[in-house]
Amino acid sequence: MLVYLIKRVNLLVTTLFLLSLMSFSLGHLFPGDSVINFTGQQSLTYEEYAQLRQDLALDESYFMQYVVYLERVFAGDFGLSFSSQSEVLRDFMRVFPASAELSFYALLVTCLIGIPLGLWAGIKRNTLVDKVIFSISAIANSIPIFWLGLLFILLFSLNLAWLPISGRLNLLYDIPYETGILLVDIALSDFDNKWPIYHDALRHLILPTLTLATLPTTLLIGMMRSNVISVMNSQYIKAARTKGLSLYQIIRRHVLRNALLPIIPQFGLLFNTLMTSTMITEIIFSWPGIGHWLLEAIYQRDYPVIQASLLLVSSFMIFINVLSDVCHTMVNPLVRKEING
Amino acid sequence: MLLDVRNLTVTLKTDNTEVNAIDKMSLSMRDGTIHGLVGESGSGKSLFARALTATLSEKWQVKADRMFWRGQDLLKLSAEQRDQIIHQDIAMIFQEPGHCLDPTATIGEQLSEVVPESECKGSFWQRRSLRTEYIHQLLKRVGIKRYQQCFKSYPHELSEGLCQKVMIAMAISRNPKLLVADEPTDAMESTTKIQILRLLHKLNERKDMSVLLITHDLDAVTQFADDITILYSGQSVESASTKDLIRRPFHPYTEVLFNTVPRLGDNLTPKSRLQALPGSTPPLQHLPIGCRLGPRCLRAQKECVVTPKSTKYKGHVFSCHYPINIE
Ligand SMILES: Nc1ncnc2c1ncn2[C@@H]1O[C@H](COP(=O)(O)OP(=O)(O)OP(=O)(O)O)[C@@H](O)[C@H]1O
Ligand code: SF4
Ligand SMILES: [Mg+2]
Repeated sequence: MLVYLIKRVNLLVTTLFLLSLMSFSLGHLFPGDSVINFTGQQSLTYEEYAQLRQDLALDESYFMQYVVYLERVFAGDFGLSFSSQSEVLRDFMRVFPASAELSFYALLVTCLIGIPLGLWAGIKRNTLVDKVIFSISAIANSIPIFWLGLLFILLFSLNLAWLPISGRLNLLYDIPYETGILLVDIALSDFDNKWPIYHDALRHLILPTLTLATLPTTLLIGMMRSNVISVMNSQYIKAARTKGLSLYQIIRRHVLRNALLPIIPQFGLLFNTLMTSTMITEIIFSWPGIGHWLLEAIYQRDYPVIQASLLLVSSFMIFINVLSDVCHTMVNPLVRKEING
Repeated sequence: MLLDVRNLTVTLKTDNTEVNAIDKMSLSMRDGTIHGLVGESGSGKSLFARALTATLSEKWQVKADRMFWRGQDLLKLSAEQRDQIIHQDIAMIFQEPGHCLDPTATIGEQLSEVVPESECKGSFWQRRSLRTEYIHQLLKRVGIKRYQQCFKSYPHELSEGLCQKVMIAMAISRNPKLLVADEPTDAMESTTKIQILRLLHKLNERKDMSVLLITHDLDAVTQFADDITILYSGQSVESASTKDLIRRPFHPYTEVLFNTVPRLGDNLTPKSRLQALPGSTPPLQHLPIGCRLGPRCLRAQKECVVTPKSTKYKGHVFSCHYPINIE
């Protein structure tokens, strides 16, 4: 077990190392002066420039530069943004919760829809129910996400006028920024009547969440369905049936767990798709999150932001991937066996 | 009579053909005995077990003149009634016990779901400890000495023999009247094999639980079974008490079969499959008409293209036109 953990941590560290190398080299590869690229400070006097150049060790070997860069990263100093001239890390922390919130709700919807539907399709395999679920999920899987988002807007916002087009909240409500997670912030705010605000926030959430959840849901349905089918065909389910357990008991006690366990490591993969989709969704719905921020930075050639968000977002994704793998090992006795035995 | 099946026919229905995988087979079991069901591979032993426990899929059709379970005709009952009786009275264990246990649940968890409600009455907490106690008793009864450790183990941490014991514990937790053991010791080491068979024997002695021992291990049946039914290609060949059958078989197939029982000292390759006559069992697609043994039988004559009727003689029931050992 310990060996396994060390292996995983090793993987994590190696990948992070490579990422940091890449991020570091971007500072030199981006057009312009590397002092400015690294710090983001644009209006410098000559003395300040020379001082920074020395601080960043830019006259020394690449190795020393990299060490200094790492020190800064660990200190949380990613320089300033070209466009806003505020600290990149602060900007990141400001937009990250919005993305995390959206992804979390989408993941929740994915699980709430994907797991039961996949289970149902797998159990009723080759019946009408299965075919309907399977075809719908195949169709949904093949729709490009930006097109789906626009379609939703067209249908529910423009034609039916049920739901708002974009943003997180009606501008009438001015919720003070506390955690960045809107629903929590509303709870923390001192407005008297919070229900209309919640209502408005949720109405803003529906379309982006659905758009974002579509692709992962179809993936989850597919995985769940095939797992359930293979579990249902296994010997132990047949044996359990002769024990006189009802179908419901068998599903609850044996099928669900055995079908879900192999999905946990896939969650990392699911999360990767989710992250990419989040960025696209944020653009469509003008959701003030990472994707929005990053794209804005790319348009404006805001190199420090690009450099930092590349490092931060990918580190986060790798971290989640390794975490889901470790979690899987913790809960699945079969994998534990392979590791120990 | 515990079980009395007459002229059971199990038909496999495909789009354009119908094959009788089991053809007019009969089997009767006395209360409290171990009954061996023997036959070469593919003779339909498992099929019989599944027909008995009503676990065959739709493409199989089961018909019988009678299928009496303690005086009740199972085939005349509604599906729910039959399932209820079967779940209450008949338990089943299989070959490859390791595959029959949920790999992600501990033995204790899996056993606790088959503990009958009547065994653990009381408050919520009492029920829990009663249940654990009951399971420990079960594990002890099937001869698992380190039952506490076993309780907490996952199936992959146990040996095949232990898994089979757990399966047996699971099966006897409901106090069934009949335990159907479908090749319970297939592909096991001989010491484990004997352990399992002894256990079945002991359970049969102490409680009034009958065992239907399905196997092609002739050694095991002759040692442990009280009665034997021999099956060939879905037709019953001969059935009688073990002693009679060995001493004086009436059916030619029975004789060859027991002549090939490896005797002590014979250097037969271990675990070789039952092989009585030259040739092999006919596949379902090419079943001979009449007596299915015909093409391989040394005594076969013209009449054998008609299926022989089952005959009762001196405690034996056999189906053959030209029986042997009859003066
Ligand atoms: N699902 C199935 N579909 C078609 N034919 C089947 C099926 N299951 C079994 N059979 C056929 O039915 C016949 C009886 O099979 P059965 O499994 O009962 O044999 P068996 O006596 O248990 O053999 P073994 O000793 O190998 O377990 C065989 O000829 C087999 O080919
Ligand atoms: S009926 Fe004929 S073929 Fe069948 S066993 Fe008897 S002698 Fe042989
Ligand atoms: Mg079999």
